[in-house]
Amino acid sequence: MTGFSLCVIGNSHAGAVWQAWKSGTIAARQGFSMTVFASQASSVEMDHRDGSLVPDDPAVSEMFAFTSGGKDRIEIDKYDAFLLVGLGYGIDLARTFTRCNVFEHLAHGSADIVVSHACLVEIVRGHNAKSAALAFAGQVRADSAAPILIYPTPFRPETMLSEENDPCLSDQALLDNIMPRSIATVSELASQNGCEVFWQHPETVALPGLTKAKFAKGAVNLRSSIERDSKHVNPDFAVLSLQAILQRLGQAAPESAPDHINSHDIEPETRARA
Amino acid sequence: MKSPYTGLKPNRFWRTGVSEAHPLTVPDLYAKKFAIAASDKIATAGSCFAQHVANYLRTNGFSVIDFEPSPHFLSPETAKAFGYGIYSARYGNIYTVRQLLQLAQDADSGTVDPLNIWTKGDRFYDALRPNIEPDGFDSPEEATVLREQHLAKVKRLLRRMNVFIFTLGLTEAWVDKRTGRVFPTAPGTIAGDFDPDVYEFKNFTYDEIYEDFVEFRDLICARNRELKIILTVSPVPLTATATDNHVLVATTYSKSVLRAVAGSLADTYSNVDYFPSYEMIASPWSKGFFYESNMREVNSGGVAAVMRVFFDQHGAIETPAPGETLSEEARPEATSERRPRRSRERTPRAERPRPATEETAGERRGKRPNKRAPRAERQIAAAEGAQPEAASERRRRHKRVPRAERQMAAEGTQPEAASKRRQRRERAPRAERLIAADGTQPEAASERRRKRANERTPRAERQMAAAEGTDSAGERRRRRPEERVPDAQRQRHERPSRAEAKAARAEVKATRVKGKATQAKSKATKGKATKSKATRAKAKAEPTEAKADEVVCEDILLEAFNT
Repeated sequence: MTGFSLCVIGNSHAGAVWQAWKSGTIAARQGFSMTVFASQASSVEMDHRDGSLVPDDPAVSEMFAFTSGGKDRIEIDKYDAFLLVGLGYGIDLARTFTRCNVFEHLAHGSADIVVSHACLVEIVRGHNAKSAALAFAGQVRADSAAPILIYPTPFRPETMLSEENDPCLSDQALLDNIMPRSIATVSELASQNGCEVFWQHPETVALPGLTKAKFAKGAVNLRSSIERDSKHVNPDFAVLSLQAILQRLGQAAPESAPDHINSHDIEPETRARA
Repeated sequence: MKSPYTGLKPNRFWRTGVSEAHPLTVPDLYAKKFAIAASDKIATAGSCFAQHVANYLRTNGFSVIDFEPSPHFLSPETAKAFGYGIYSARYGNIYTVRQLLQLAQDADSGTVDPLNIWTKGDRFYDALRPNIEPDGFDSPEEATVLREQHLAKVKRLLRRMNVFIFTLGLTEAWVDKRTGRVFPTAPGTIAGDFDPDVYEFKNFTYDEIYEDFVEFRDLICARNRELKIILTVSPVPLTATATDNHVLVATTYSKSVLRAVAGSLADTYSNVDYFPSYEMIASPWSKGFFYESNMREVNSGGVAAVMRVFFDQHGAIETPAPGETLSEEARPEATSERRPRRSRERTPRAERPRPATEETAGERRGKRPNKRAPRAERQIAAAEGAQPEAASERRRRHKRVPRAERQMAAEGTQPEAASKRRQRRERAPRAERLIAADGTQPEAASERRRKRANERTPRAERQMAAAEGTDSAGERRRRRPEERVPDAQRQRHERPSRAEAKAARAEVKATRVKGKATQAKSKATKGKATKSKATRAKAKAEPTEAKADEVVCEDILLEAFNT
């Protein structure tokens, strides 16, 4: 018996989740086991065969084996829930504004492609609709009725404002207009695909769409800790998110089950003792 | 007795031109006034029928430009709902010539009138294109700024287009009494409120429409002197009329006036042509086959038939570069006019904005200036000691003028209709031609093959004979034994010197290389044929989309007139 078995599939943002779990500071982790399949690759594609997800790319397989403790495939029926971390799902206004602008931009200079707020929200929706997260969700859902949760890509750290030189990224009125609509749209999209989005903890949010600088300090990706990283967050951020996710899943988890990452890391007797 | 009708072409008579003609054969219905070159930038606008024209032109390799392309990541359906990719800019349907003139004038002056912003609940709509934002704008400021942006794009479009295809849709419109502005939809349908003190109904007359178009033409051609205009009249009847007439009577008036104006403009101006799509769909000739069961929407077969006539004259352009022109237009603006921004993060290649029609890597390679001649050709050139042909020269040689144009240039005549060409090409079966040639019964193909096989000497022997200039082995075999040369002599004769053998081998090699070149050429020709097959298949598939467009169009018009 390994308790409630959670499968984490993610990209570089899974690094913070992994470290947060290992840190042992998550109170709700009791009763859960976690297996992480993560890869830094910018685009991950998996074949769905015989009830398993198998990466197309050998480099991804290798990373999966590294993060999961030897598994090169995801056997879907082995898990009670799935957590999709990052994988292109989320709202990154800085990136969206590199492709198109809103009319507020014109107050600060010229812009070529200007779209309405409503259209911008649709662009955000379109971006998420093409994400790897939803592609995997579809593959998992074909074989399993288990809950699929999405831990979206964290909002960009507020430190990025000084680098991007885009005044609209800190335009409170604009953000108050766009962000709630974008969040609602992206949540709805997930729901239409049988998933539930766990947006980042309010404590981590500086401005709508931006993460507080303190959560970018000591940001980690899968391989290393980076002092100045404009995309990733630190494990403290992930702790807050995981608390909420595990509490949500905890209703289904047995109370006395083990709490460990990658159940195969632990010897069977240890597992039994646990 | 002599009549002025004596000796006229069959298409001048109803019986031969219509009654006895199948609507799909379309003999001599349309003769183009001017050619559309591959490099011409085509813009489209008008009522919903014009959407089909743009789709077909793109599919057939014409450079249809789009100055407000869809932003990346919008699905095609969402993009269409937001008015992207339908016409050459995001102006929505332009039903009347007055609306077109207004747009050109506004684009020229950059005028945005706040009175033209309608509301619905807490949302705001651009009354001059109310369909381009499905749920309206957040604020009047947003609607105003986006209209200013739109007008700037339209201004550039009107100056840069080389060919403008406009479909005249309606004579009926609603006008703001205060400003004289006409709207594509009635106030109170999509947004706004109908107030009879502010808005009034207007059914444009022949003179008004004619004068509006002349004003539009003068305005545009003043800055775009080489512009060519093709007018069509939408065959889609009115969904509803605001006149006191029956909708059928109102439709006939509307279409008749538009058709008369279009014809008159085409007769008057050398840069204005009229394309008779209306006649093909709406006349008794097609017996209503091209309409859906509601006798209003044009079915996909109708659109395809119309476009076949268009391409019969204007031809499908072989170099598929519809996106190329688009990107030429879009890229400089995207780079030079964007706000300068320091961005450490490059957008991944797959996510970068691209032209609507994407070029494959193979097509890009094909366009590279260092495109090499086929290997076989290069070998021949090397063997012959010729200087290799410059890439530019090869490109020039390969870039052929469309057949119809070449014919015109050579003969100084109108090009021959495709149907005639087909007819001319229809050859009698080979057997019949053989009989006709010598008055004998044709020989069976198998018999001919057998004969040929017997007559031919083995290839190696033929090559040797060619190299030596001696009798062929077959001839030698046929000689009587007494005539044969003694063995020793023969051996001497048959064994050439080393130098001779070398020369012979070189010649054989050159022959092979030439053969390969011919094969490569024929392969290339086959490839072209496959490509054109694919284009036709694509064009066949297009009508499904076209049908969907019609339904959307129906909805829009219903809303527009459902006051």
